[in-house]
Amino acid sequence: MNMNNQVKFNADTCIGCKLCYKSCFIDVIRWNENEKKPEFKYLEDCVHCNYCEIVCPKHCIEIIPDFKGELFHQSFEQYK
Amino acid sequence: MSNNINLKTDILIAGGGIAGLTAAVIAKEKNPECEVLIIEKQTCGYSGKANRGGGVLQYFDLNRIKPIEFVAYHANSVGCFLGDQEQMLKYVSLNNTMIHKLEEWGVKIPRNEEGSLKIVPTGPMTGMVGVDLDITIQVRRTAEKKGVKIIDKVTLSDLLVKNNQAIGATAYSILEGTFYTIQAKSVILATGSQNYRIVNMWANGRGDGIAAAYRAGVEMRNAEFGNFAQLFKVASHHELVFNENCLYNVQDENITKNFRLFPEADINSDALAEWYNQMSAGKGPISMKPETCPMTKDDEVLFTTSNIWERPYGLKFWQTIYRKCHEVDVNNEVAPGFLGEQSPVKVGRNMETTVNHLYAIGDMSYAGSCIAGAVPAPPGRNRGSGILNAVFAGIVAAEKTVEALPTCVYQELDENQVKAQRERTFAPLERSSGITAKELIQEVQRIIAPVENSIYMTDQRLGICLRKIEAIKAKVDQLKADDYHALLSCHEAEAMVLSAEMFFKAALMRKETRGWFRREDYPGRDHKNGLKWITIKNQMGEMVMGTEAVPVEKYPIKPYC
Repeated sequence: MNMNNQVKFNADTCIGCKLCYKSCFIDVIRWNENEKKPEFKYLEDCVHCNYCEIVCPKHCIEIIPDFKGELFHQSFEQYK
Repeated sequence: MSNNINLKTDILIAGGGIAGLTAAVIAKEKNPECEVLIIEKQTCGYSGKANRGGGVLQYFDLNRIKPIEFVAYHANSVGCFLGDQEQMLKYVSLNNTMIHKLEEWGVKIPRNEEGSLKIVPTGPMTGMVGVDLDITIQVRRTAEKKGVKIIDKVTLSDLLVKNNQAIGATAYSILEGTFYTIQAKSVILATGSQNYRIVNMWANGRGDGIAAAYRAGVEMRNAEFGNFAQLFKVASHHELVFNENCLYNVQDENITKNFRLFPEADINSDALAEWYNQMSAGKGPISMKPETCPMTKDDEVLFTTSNIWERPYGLKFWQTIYRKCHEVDVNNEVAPGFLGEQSPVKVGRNMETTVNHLYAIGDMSYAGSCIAGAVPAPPGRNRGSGILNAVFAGIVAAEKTVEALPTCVYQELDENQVKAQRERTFAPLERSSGITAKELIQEVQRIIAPVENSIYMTDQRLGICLRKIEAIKAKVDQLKADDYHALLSCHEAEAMVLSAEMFFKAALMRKETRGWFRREDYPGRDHKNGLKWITIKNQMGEMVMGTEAVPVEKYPIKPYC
C-alpha cells in the first residue's frame, strides 16, 4: 500500500477488449465505457500480479512495480 | 443515494473463485432447474487464488496407497490429532474423481502421451499434478453454459438471517454502489480466507466474508491456525518454494540443515522460528542457497519452462513474474512473509455453518471445518491441497444444498434489517473526518506480521498484541471513505481487525506447541489439555471464547500418548 507503482500503457494499440480490467483481482483497473479503454485508477493498491500485462493480446501494458515501496513489516532491520 | 436492486434465487453463492464455481456447477448438475446466482467482488474467472499460485493439484495414487494410510500420516505429522479424520478420509477418497471432474469442466491438466497424469512426488504418499492457470476461467464458462448466473463487481455486505436461518444477503456494487437485496433459499459463502493484504499475490483474501458471517452470529473455530507464513526474497518479495533446508546465516552456517527430511510435508514453521532465533542472536541476515540442495536447485524450471508440465497460460504469468523479480533480487536474502490464511468459519461435515441453510466453503472454512487439524488453510503443509479442498467443499455443500431445496421456501425479509445493513454498509461514506482504511490496515499489519507476534509466540507478546488490536478496534467506527473503492477497503479493514482479535484471543488460549502452532514459552505438546478446538461466538456483540473436545476416541487413528 502507498506504493508508487507505474504503468506504461499504449492507448493507440489497445483494442478495448477489457481483459486487463477483468483480470485485475483487486480493483486497481476501472473501465472507461466512453473511451473503451482501461483506467489505472488505484495503482497505489497494485500488487504487481502482472495479469493485466500478460492477458493483453496487443501487449499494450507494462507494469513497473515499486518493489521498495511494498511494506512487508518484517526485515533484518528490525533486529539490528 | 445509490440505486436499489432486489433479486431472488434458490441458491446464492458469494464468491466466484474455484470453491464457489464448483458449488455452482455441481448444484446445476444435480438439479438443472434450480436457480444459482454467484455474486463476485471482482471478476469471476480471474478472482480467487486458484489462478495465481503454483498451478498444482494434490494427487493420491489410490492404487498404491489406501486413503486411511494418508490420514494416519497426516494425523501424526501435520494435523497432530486436531483433524477430523473422517472428513479427511472422504477428501482423499474423492481425489481422483475431483481431478477428472475438473477436466470434464474444461480445466487443462497435463498428461503423458499415453494418457497418464504427470505426477511429481511431494511427500511420503502424495504427489502433485500440474494444472494450467486458466482453471477458473474454464470453470466459469462451464458454469454459465449450465445456466449459472454471475454478477461481477458486487460484493457481499451482510447476511439476512431470521430465526437462525439464512434467508438471503445484501450486497453492493464496488463500481457505483448499487445496493442489492437478494432473497435466497440457501446461501453458500465462498469468499476466501484472511490474508491481511501483506503478501502481494495473496492480497485478495481480506476476510470480509468471515466478518459478515461473524456479524450474522455464525460460530468460528480454530482461529489460532490463521498464522501461515512463508519465506520470501527481501528485495522482490518473491515467494520461495522448497527452500527450508538451504538457509544460511551471516556466518555461513546452514541453519536449517535437514529441517525437511524428504519425503516430508514441506513448509515448516520451524524454519520461520529459526529465522527469528538467528536474528535475535545477531546472526542475520539470512540467505538461501538453493544450489546447495538437490531438491531446490532446479525448482524454477517447474514454473518458467514446460519441461515438466505443459501449462501455456500459466507459463506467461510465471515467466513475467520471475523476470521482474530477478531484475531486483541482487542477493538471496530471505525474510518471512505473513500470509495468515485464517479460515475459521465453523462448519459441519456437510459444510453447513451454525446458521441453518448457510454454508461456508473453500479457504474461509478450512480450519473451521477441522479437516486438517493443527495447520493453517491450504496449502498448509501439503502442496496442491488448496484447490482440491475448495473443490471438495464445493461438491459437499452443493449436494447438501440441492438435497435440502425441496423443503426450503423463500422467507419474508425484514425491511428494518435490510435498512440497518444498508446504513452500516454506507456509513464510512457519510463521515467527513476519521481514519482511512489504509491507515488502519497498516496498523494491523505492523502488529500481526512479525514472526515473534504470530508464528513463534509467547503469552507476553500475544497479550501486548491483543491490547494493541483492541485499541485499533476502537477506531473502526471512525473509518471514512470517499468512493466505493475506499468503502470496500473500509469493510476489509474492519474484517482484518476482527480476524486479528480472534487470532490473538485464540492463540492465548492454546498454551502448547502443536503442528504449525508454535509457542516459545510452551515448546511441548500438551497431551492433557491440547486436544480441543477453540471456538468463538458473537453474543450480542461480545466475543465469547470456548472450547470443544476433539472426539479423537471416535477416530481411526489415536494419539500415541
